Amino acid sequence: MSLSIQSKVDRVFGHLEVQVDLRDKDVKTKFVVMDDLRFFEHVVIGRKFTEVPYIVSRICGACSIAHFLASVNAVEDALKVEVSEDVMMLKEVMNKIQIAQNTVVHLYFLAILDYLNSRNLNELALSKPELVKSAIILNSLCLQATKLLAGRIVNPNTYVVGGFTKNLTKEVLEKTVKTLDKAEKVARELIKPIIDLDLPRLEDPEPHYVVLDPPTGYLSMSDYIVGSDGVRFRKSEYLNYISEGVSEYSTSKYCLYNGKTFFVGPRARLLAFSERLSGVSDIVGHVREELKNPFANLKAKAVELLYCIANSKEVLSSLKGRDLNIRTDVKVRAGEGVGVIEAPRGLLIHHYRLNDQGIITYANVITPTVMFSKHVEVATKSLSKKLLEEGVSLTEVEAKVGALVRAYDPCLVCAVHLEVRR
Amino acid sequence: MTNSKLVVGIYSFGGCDGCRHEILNLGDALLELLGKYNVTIAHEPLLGYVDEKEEYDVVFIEGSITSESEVKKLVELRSKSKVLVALGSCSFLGGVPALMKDLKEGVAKNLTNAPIGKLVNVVPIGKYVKVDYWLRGCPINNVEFLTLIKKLVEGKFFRQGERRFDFCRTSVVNVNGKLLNLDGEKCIVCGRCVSVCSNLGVNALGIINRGIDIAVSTPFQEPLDNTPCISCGLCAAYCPVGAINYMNNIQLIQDMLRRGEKLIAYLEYEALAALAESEEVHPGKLITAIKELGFDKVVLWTPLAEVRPSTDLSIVPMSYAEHKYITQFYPDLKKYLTQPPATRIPYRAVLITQCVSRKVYGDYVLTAREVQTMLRSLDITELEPTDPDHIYRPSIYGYLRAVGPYELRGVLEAVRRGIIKTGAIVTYICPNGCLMGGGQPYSRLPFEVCVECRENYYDKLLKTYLTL
Repeated sequence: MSLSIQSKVDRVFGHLEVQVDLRDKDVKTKFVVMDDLRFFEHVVIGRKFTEVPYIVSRICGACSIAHFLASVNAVEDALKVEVSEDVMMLKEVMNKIQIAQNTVVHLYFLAILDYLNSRNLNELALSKPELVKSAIILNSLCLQATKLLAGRIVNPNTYVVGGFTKNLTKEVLEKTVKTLDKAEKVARELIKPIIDLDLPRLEDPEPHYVVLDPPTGYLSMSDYIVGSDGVRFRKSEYLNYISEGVSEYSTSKYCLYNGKTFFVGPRARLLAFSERLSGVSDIVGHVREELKNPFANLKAKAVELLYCIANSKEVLSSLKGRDLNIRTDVKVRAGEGVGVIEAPRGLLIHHYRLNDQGIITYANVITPTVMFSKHVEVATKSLSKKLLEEGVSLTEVEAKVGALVRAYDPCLVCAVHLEVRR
Repeated sequence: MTNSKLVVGIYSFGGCDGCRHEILNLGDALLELLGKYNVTIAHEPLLGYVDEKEEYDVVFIEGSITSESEVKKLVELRSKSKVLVALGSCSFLGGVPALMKDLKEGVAKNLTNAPIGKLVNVVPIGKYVKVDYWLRGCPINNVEFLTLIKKLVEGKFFRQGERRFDFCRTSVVNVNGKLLNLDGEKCIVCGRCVSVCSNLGVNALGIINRGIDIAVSTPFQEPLDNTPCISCGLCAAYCPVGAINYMNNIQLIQDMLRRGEKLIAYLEYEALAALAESEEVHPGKLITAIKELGFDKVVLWTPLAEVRPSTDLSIVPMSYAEHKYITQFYPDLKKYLTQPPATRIPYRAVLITQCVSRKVYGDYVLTAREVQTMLRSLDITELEPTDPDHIYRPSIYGYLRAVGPYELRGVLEAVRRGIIKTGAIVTYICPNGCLMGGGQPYSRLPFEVCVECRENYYDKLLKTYLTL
């Protein structure tokens, strides 16, 4: 009997292989990203600051809006542009709708298949037509809302450094609110099967996490980052706490927080700020006990899905009554800026240095998948050890490991933007 | 799945997966494809299909090819598949990954154990394999994807490249029979030819249809001879992919030189200035280089040497293009036109010019771009500069210059209204005159800088050679 698993994980964005070596008593696991190197941090050097958000939004097709916004935040930070409150709120809404849309795709088209004995979307559509139908409706509603605010679904084009390029009229906002209203109704029903899922039990071996720390609200923009150990630091100091390393076997880097393996994402956000989730507290109560389990990322996502839609609807309703201040003048100057955002998969950091002509001279991007890649390895190890003790078959182990990795929703195309320095 | 109408594989290389995300976002329509249209998706890991088939009907390629192992994989997929489709800008044009072109192993050397092969420069996948269809955009428009698949299900196999330049599929397009060479397989429908043509006010080309049927064509797909085309050749000069090209005479001239025929190169001032700029060398070295190619003599020539304006008002066209432009759009001013120059070049002399339009007169015309190609075999910087054997000087001075379409139109209106009554008007239809004509060599510089640089060279040339 072969005692090692080399499993290509499908139903994730990008190419991923998970290797589990069971020959030793101490199980070895590897999270091998096999996507092509694309060196975005190198590509943007020498480019004008106006081009950069548009280039880096091509890092990932799934969460392009998150990359776009983080990049815009970083450039605005470097140029000391103070955008208006309205723009800030609209940016947050854009991000939340994007999180909702990504969550729908991940939960109902990719991850839930592990628990319903389906291998692909078509099989699921045959066995659970109702579920797929409403998931598709919810997805298209989220896409419509994204299109109204961001211009396009993948790679947004309504925003430039300093503000929106088009005036978001009352009609547009009203239309978006209506769309989100429909979406909320669908989502409320749709998240039930996820909340009721019977997840495999697994104790998180490394329960450290890092999240963005907004003064109020959930998933809001902030300049501060907080760790599970209670340390709170400014975004510009991120390099003192979060260190990057080059993995020998993967095209992605890995990250450590104060030398410890950590995770980011919906589960981390919910662990830190579950009491701030207004409107969905009844569902939060259901999932709170389970949050120690890495598999419970799915449930955390379901909660966020509902919250994001409901909250975006609320914010937009409050905005549609008044004249929006959507553009701030930008003066080119030398500077350094860090943009942080809670992307669908967790904390995302963009960091640029500009010279006095607005040309990028240094760039660093740390994506959520890079941050939690070590945590996936640790969790996989702990899971396969546990399964081995229970004496399950290797195919079973492989399936469970795949399900665990998918629960993190790794995005490998995000992970491989890296440039190796020194 | 033997009854399936279409077996589809979607393969992703170095890209952002945005195009596949768009396909996933089709939702209902995607399920309809799988059900009603009986399409089998064999390979698309994002949707959970992981079969590797031996034979496909259609393979979609997303993302750029960045390593040697992927080139192999791509060639293998081509051999397995009846139809190969490039999905989105990354595969079709190189996309954002193509921006990392100056980056080699040096940066990636710490990753020796990573599962990547030797890196290659990112180029469009058309360089490696034959591509049947291109879905443009970053990301793709998923409705185009749907339309294409439905057409393929219905058995409507057509090659997209054949649709481009629909007006001239069978032969070379000509004004008089032998000027432009169009290759629809290369066309990316960027629209630069269309915009340069409409800037001139000629509008011989336009974009027709939408979606996967989009193409560059003439009005009503008439042959180019029946359109207002003035054969200026700017569409060829600005085509970024070489889909529009003028017929080149390199082979003809080279054969003649090899046979030892004594040819005299009539080199235009503007061509010399532009070549000096694009090759970044002293003009004298270029004259030596042209002699090295086998030309017996190099003579510096200008069309203005031949102009014999009448005492009355005369409009001097610098080439056939201006002549046709004025006869076509200002027929009432035809009586003032003089004959286009370059008709009196001696037999067996080769004209080296910036003007594609002069090609209409005969076979012994080389554009600066063709000369640039011929010079590739030589190391010009090592050569000693020499002076030309003879210099033709302009025969007229004190004339009015009308450069570019806007100035030209203004001056012609002034003539029409009787504001200008006497003197010679020398007309250039190309923006920035002959320096940026249709036969210009490839420059490394951005447009504005290139114009400025060539003008400097031109002024210097006039100062040096006209005072000799």
